[in-house]
Amino acid sequence: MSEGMLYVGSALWLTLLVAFVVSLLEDGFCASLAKNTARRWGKFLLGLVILAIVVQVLSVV
Amino acid sequence: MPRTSKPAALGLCVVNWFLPGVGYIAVGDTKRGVALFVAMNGCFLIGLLLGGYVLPPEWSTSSPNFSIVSCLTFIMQFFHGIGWAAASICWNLVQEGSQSGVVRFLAGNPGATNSDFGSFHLLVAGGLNYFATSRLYDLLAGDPTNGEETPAKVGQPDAVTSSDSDKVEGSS
Repeated sequence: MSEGMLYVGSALWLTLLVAFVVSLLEDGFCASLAKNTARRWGKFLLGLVILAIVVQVLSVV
Repeated sequence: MPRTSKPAALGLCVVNWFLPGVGYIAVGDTKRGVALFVAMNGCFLIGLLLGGYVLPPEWSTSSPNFSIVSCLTFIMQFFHGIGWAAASICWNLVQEGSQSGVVRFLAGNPGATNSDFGSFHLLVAGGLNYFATSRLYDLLAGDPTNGEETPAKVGQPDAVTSSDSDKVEGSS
């Protein structure tokens, strides 16, 4: 596996894990746990994309 | 989840710090405890498989080896109690020349290609257990709504949805 794929894979897996644990702590083991996890995961990934864009822009400037 | 006294809650938090997820199981929240146990210890185990390690940092700011990142990483890893303790002890044993396979596995391998990723996994596992432990305290003896935006907190105690207003209009 290339290092770039490892970066992307780790980012996806660790943000999913954090979203799952946060949902578990906030909402408990409820029926909407998967939905809440997915919603939080989406927000984390959006944050990562924004962060990546900012870093790219700053590195060019 | 039953409310307890502050000393009892602190004791359960220490249990949950050392054995992630077990504090929840001890108070009867078995599903959540087991899920947290698997998630956090699984993350720590993956970190060890990648060669992650718990490196005792140089705390003296006057030392040329001082690094604030290393200090903060060590502090976050500390919150995964049993994993941090085992990895730290095994690291010292390896430095003293231990050749045991289990000890070398738990000590990690800084020379491995992905050891930085592994150490980051250990850091995430510790950070998650910090959140889980502080949440356990809030549920047992602190403010169980800590961090949540309840209607009372955001000043909307009498919030009426459109469907509710429709019902009221229909009944009159």
